[in-house]
Amino acid sequence: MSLAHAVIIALIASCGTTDTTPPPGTSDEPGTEDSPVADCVTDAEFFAADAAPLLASRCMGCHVEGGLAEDSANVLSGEDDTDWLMLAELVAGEGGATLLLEKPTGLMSHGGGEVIDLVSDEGIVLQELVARLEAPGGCENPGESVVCEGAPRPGPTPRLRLTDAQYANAVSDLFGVEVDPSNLPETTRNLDSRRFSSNNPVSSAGAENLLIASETVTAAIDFAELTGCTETDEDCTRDALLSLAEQIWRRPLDADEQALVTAPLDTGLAPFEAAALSIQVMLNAPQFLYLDARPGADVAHTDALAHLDDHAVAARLSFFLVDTTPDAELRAAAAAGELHTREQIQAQAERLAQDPRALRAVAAFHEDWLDLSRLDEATRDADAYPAFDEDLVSSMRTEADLFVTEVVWGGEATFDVLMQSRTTWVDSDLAALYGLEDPGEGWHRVTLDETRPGALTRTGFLSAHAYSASSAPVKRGYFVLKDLLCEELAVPPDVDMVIDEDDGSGGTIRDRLEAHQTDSSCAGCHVRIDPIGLGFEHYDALGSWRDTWEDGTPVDASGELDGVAFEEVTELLAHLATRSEAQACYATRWYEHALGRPAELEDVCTLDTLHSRFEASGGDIRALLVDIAMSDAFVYLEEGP
Amino acid sequence: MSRLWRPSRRSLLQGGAALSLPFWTRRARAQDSGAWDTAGGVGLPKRLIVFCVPQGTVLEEFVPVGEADSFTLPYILEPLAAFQDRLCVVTGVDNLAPQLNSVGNAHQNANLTVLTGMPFAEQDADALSAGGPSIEQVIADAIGGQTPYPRLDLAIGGSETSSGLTTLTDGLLWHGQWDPVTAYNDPSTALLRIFGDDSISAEDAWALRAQRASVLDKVLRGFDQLAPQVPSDDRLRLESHADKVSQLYDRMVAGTGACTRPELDLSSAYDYTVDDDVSAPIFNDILVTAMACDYTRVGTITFANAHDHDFPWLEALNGGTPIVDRSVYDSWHTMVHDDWVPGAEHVYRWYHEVLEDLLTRLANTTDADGDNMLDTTLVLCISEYSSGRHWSTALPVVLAGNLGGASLGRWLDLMTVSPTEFRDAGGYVYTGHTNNQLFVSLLQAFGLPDETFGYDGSFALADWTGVDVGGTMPQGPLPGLLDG
Repeated sequence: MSLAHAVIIALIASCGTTDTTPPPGTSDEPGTEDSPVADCVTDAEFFAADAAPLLASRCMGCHVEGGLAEDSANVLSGEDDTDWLMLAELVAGEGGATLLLEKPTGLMSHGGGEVIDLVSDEGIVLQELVARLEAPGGCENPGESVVCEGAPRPGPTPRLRLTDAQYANAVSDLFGVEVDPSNLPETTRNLDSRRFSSNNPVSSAGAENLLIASETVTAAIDFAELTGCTETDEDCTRDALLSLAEQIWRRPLDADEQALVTAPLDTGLAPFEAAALSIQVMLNAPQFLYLDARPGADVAHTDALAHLDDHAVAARLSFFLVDTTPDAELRAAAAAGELHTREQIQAQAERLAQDPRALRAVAAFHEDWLDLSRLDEATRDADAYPAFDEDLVSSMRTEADLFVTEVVWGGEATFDVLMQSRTTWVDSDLAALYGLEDPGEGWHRVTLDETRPGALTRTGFLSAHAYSASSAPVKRGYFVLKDLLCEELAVPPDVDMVIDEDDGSGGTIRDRLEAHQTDSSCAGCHVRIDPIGLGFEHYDALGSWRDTWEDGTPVDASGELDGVAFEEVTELLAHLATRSEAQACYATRWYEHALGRPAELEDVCTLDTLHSRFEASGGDIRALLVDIAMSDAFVYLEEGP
Repeated sequence: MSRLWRPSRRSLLQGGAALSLPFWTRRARAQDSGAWDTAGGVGLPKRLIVFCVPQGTVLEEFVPVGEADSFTLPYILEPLAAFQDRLCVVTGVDNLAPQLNSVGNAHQNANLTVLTGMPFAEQDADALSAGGPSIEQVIADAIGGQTPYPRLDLAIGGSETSSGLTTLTDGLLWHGQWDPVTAYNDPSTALLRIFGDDSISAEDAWALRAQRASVLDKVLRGFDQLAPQVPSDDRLRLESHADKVSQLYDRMVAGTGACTRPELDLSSAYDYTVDDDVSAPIFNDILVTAMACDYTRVGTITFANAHDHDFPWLEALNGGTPIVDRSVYDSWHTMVHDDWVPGAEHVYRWYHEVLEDLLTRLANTTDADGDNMLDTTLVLCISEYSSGRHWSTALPVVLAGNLGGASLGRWLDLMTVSPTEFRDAGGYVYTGHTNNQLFVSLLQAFGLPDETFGYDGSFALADWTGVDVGGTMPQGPLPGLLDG
């Protein structure tokens, strides 16, 4: 039975959307398939009754002659026969079925963004349409559809390479030695701040950095203290190395691996010198640098699916929730074979989610999500923003870390609090930006006024989404759509991306952005981006409040999201704090962060359940992390034939 | 039954492997090609340097005036006048690969394609990669394998966040799919890594290298032990990583030393992240010295401060005022994006002053075989754009040194319109000649038999881009370049 057989069955079905849904895909054994339900509607009847209305309402705004998408391969006429044939030809082409599914559902970049939710009635129609186009024949060949019941569907499980922070944390926990992450190969980020450790190649010079970092580590280790061995005791050293290797590589070693890590002892070197080389080997080996994802030998699985090995689960839980290598309790649980039932994983996940070390994992996620790495490269016009310097940037990042960790650890830990809390932490410099009295030395917890709800009105986010001499409404609006609502916005490759924020022609930024609306190739996206971003115009390029623009004009921060107008950004943020798409998007970003890869089509059902549970929990962030740790993709492995 | 599921990234990677030439294939190819034996023979270059000018140019001040073999170099190219008989200016080469992409912004589309001649590996804005290796990697595969550095990459400027290294954002240089090149951008780090630690004795240096080689040998065994246990997509990533470790091992075994290292005399105020005027000659020196020592045969010089920079050393040329008027422009990028703003030409000219410095150093240096370095090196200078306005047509190209024995002192003009007409047309003037052809010519200049490079229309691209170039992408070498 292939995975597809196990998970794709008859036409109708929907993911549960109530709070009674069990956590996603955490059964101990994969489910079995149900019998397909025959459907006796012909292709033509289906197309006329279901598909054509969907195409008319969702696609034909652009995909028609003269429309914005008239150059695409998909141009609809409104005539059922013609459109069926055109779409059938499209689907018959290389990757055509994927395109027809992924573009409108926003899983692939699409100029119109996500227009159809794959897990919705419309999504089901779309899936049936594609299935019928691929295998026409009506009753004899009913299409198939994604359903959210039955066996788990983990999607890809790439071996994740440790991030630089994870390497440093692990070495600190293993040896008590601190490594400066800046000496490690850069942990690359993908476009738009999404850092996936699955796509994180090691360059030539990066491999050299890893080697030198490992030498720094062994130079700092007191091997006698670490192991209790004496300098001349080769047997003790050998045993200690084998024991260390299991910790460093996070699992038992096979005979070849044992021979490898003890090989330096057989070269005539003094035991401790050999031990240093052995540890360097361990730290440069892929067994340390990449998270394991092997199937568990003793856990029931099907031909197509396996539960991850207990040691692999321990490592994934640990690096996700506390950003470091498994602690003694996790290692013991894995060694005892107690990390594969739903209850076992839940217990460990809940323990780690309460661990203070989780603070750094939470801070790291939010730095990534809020795109604060942009601050590294930030510059400011010295005349307009004399307060700007590296220390201020450092303070902003500290504030962001303190803010999010307090949200997650200090109280309710909900998405609503993240978006609405007026509490923050300031030093003297940040107090000045917020217009507060100088609090004196050190960091101080303060409550800001009503103009400062949540993470998006803090100095770090606002400064990271600004230009040198001005605010950047486009960047801010784009963030809201892309990373707060998870809308895929396609950038036309040959369109000039830059609108001059200040071209010297006078007028306010609001006037200059009007240009976006008059160019049809820009308007498709900017008609949504700009009115959101302009809402943030009361915050300047450092996040300070202002009542007037640079030219003295009173700031007009009114805007619009999906046709709903707002006067001030606080209204927008209050709306977003409770908007289910925003909560769902936040959960999706965490899910992708945990898996080290972007969400794929296989994830839609898991995500749907995660979203429902997150919303039903009142946006409980810690509960979300536990749910993710228990999800199919986190603990199951798809096995090839 | 699996038809509802998209091809996974795994299968794409597997499929892509054939396109990106994994390292073992590349090595086999190098052995087969015989290029190593012929390199150094009469007429063939031994070395390649790729010199990348960022953010385009001002074509009005770049395109020569005159005839193919009798022309004057305008303002931007004027610094190269002393080498006019040693170079070939090429105008009118188009990069069509961005048109095969459906995602990514204009910079990603240009940078990831200009030296690879291929669309992205995958049309996914969240996971962008070049579609295959860039030209210098393909040439390094053929000629670089037996030197300590199969290729040596140096970047002028950039951030200091990664220990003297920088991965160029939206990079130009790719080992292959998903495998961007990292460059040294701190001269001190570069010297230490390339020429060794001169604070320890030669004996200690040998001992350290032997120790490192011993560690790396076991690390590679660790890769060998793990690789069979992981699925093929992960194996590709591990093999790419192992390839880098293997190169490092080779370098430790081969050793670098017994060669005069460049002396650095830097003021305490020097900041390699911004003082590009100081960094540029230093990196030229490092590259030419490393090549003279035969530590490497393929090198790249890139400028990492491509987006936001002030060029204070050019203020005097600019009437004493900053190049980038910060009251008008947020960055250098927004300035050049605004068409030809006066002052921009000084920056583009300066890049060619740096190129002139490089050519001068090559011309003044003799390699271990006793050959003049400029006579034996092919230098390619190119930008990803012809204008700050993100046009990938009519790219500015200068070739210098040894063009496989082809005559120099030439201007190969493939443009069909004047620079002004080109500008008025918004850059939408195609010549029918591509960077793919240019790179085929470079491969042939190295004695390689290739007739295609990058995307050649022979494999299916997803057809959703609406652009039909299948079979129509010009093939073969650039007419008139080697046979001119």
